[in-house]
Amino acid sequence: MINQAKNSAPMLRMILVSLGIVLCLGAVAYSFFLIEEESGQESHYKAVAGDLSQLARDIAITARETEQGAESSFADLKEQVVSFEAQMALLQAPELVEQVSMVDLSWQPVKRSAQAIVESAPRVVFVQSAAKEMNKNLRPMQLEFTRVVDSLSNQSVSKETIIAAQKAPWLIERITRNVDRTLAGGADSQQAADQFRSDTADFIRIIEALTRGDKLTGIEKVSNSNAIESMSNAFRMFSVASTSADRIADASLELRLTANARDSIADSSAALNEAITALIPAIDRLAVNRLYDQGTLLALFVAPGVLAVVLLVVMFSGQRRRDSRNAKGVAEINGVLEKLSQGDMTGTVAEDSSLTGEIAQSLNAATQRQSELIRNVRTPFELTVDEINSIGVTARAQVEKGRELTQSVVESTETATVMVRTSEEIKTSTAEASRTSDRNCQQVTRGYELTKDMSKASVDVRESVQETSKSAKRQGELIQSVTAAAEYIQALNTKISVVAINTRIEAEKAGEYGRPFLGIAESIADLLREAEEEGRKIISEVRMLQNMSADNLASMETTVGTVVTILEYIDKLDSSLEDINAGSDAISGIIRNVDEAAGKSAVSALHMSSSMAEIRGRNQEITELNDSTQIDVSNLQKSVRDAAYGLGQFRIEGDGAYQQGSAVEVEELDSIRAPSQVYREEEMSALESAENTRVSV
Amino acid sequence: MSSTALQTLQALEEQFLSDAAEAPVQNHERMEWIGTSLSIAGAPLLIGEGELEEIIETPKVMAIPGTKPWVMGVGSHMGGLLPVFSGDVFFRGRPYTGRPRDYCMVIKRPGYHVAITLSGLERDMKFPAEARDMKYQVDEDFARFTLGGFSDRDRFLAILDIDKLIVDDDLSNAAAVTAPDSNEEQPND
Repeated sequence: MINQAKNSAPMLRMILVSLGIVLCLGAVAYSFFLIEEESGQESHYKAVAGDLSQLARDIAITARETEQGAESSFADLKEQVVSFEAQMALLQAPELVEQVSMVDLSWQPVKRSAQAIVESAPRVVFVQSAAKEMNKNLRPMQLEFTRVVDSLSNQSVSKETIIAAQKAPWLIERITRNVDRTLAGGADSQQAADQFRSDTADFIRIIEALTRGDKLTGIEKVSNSNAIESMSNAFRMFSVASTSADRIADASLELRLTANARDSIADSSAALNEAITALIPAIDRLAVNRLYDQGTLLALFVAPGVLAVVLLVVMFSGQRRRDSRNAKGVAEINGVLEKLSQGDMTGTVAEDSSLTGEIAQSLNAATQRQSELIRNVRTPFELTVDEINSIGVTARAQVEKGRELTQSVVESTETATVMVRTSEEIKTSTAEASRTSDRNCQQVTRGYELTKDMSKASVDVRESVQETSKSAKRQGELIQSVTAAAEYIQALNTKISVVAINTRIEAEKAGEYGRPFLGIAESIADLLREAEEEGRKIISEVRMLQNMSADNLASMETTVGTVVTILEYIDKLDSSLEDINAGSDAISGIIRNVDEAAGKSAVSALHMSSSMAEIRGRNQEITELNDSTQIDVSNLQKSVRDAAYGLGQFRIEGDGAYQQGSAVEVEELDSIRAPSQVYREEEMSALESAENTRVSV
Repeated sequence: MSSTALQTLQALEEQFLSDAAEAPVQNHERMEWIGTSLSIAGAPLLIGEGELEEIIETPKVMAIPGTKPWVMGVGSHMGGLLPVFSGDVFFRGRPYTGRPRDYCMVIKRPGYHVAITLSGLERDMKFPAEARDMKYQVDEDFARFTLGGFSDRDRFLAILDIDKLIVDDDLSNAAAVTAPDSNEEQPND
């Protein structure tokens, strides 16, 4: 019953947690749906703002296009104004009231200007068409009047008549320009309209005067048929202006207002576009603000999410706790079973787990029973181990003694061998030393001869250098004489210079008569300059030569001193060679004595070798006894080791150290072998080679 | 028409150029400064043309007691007496005991006829007048008697102005002490 209750409680908990998670997910989905709806409204407002921006640009462009006077432009402008108003009406969101009012504020001047342009459409279209007609007819009308002037020039007409005919084309051109200026609606459009009106009247008067004649102005009637026809053609083409002169002139004010309205639209477009542009970020913030203001929506979106996460964590942690408890119980049972398989009876299993409790209880009871059985077997075995240990200690002591004896014999044999070899080397060295001593004697004799030759050569060098030194001194005296001569020449130059200077002074005093002497003085001065430079150079070089000669002399004296020093060294070398010769004789005597001592040392080594042979025989007997003892102890140890290994498989509480100690001792006894026998073989070969050496000595 | 007129003008210009006489080349004669190069008390100097009376070997002199240290004495020259001044002592202002000076320059001005010993004598030299350097710092013992100079290779030759030299108080008054008043010297018997 308890187990059933334990199983149904987690199930119920899991169902409740799952139900809670599903409800939370549903709430989150509903929140997403609401946010999606709000975002849809935001995109609609964005489209409206885009349309408004496009319409504002179109209105500015269309207003500028109305300058051309096309009726379609005015219609488009009117339609765009209506569309802009309709789009403005769509922006009804209370959060956008401030931005929409800013757009409306910038829109009102544009709207008024656009309406003014639309209202002036008929007048603008009319004046534009008149201006086009006038521009088209301007050149033909002027040609016609040119013909009239040519015709009148061929006739005998008054000067006023020709002037009037010549003035007419000029008036036509000014009328056309003034129509254009009136249409442009600039600041001077009213002045252009007034001038247009008066020019038109003047032109009509001139035409009437030329047609009928005017005595007041002196203009005669044109009688030439060609001229009359030309005037008729021109006046017909001018009918556009003549019939609508007042209408064009009266339209000046309205055209000016229209032009101002265009400029106003152009000026206000920038502000309108900025206001519309400011709408976009406000629309972007629209949805966020709404969601931010609705606390319930956020609660629906955030709280279910948090609750779902908490429920998931609770469910996951409960499941994990159960799994870890079961895994721990199973792992403990597995560990104890593994120890049992290795003979370890010390392990126990916790019995508190519901899943593995009964298994753990049975396993603990079986382990205790096995431990009692092993403990009963181990007691007599421990006594046997103690006895074997004492035998093992005795055997180890014997083996140690045998090893020390063997080591001593080997060392003695090696020493004897070394002595024999040393004696041989000494004899070889003494023979070599004797030969070297003989060679030294020969070298000393040769060196003695060489020192004699060197002494003779040094004396020759000294005499030669002394001769050279005398020659150098003579050379120095000659250089001194040359220097004195050069200085005398320099002094003569100075005297000549004095003569030249005084000559020039006297020539100057003599005035015109002394002019030839002036030239002579200058020539002497020029020659003197060259002589002085050369003389200075000679003195400098001679002094340099003198210095070099002095250096050479000093060098030669130094050489003589060096040669004398070399002679002294040669004498010392001679006496040293004699000393070396005497030393070599003494060394030869010492070498002979050393040779004799080496022979005696070889004989002593032979005696030592025979003693080593006797010691070897005794040592061999001891070794045989040790071998037999060791074999017996080894057999016994093998038996004990097998038994210890068998008992060592089982491990019960409180006796781990005993098992480990027995195993170690068995291993130590195993390591005692017969090393002395191996050494003996090597020793024998060493002694044999020593005997051979002794024979050679 | 216009191209013909231009061509005509060009032909006229070429004709004028071919007929025109060359402009005379202005001959800038080079002004030269001439003087004698010598040295006094080891300072290389120049003395302008016409300022020296003569260069002579230093005559044997007789010392005159009661004169300034630079007055070596009076020597005989061309049948007359000539005061000889030591250039080394006069310009350097300290006694001189070096090599004897072999030559003297004789200066003759109204009221002056003296010889000054020279430490060296070279020759007459010429320099372009425009190369005269008036700002070079010359030996301070000679600075008050010089008037510019010329650079000659690696040395500067200062021009010794004889007019400045003869107006110097020391040179004009060679007496070491002022002669005592005859009234004070003579006891009243």
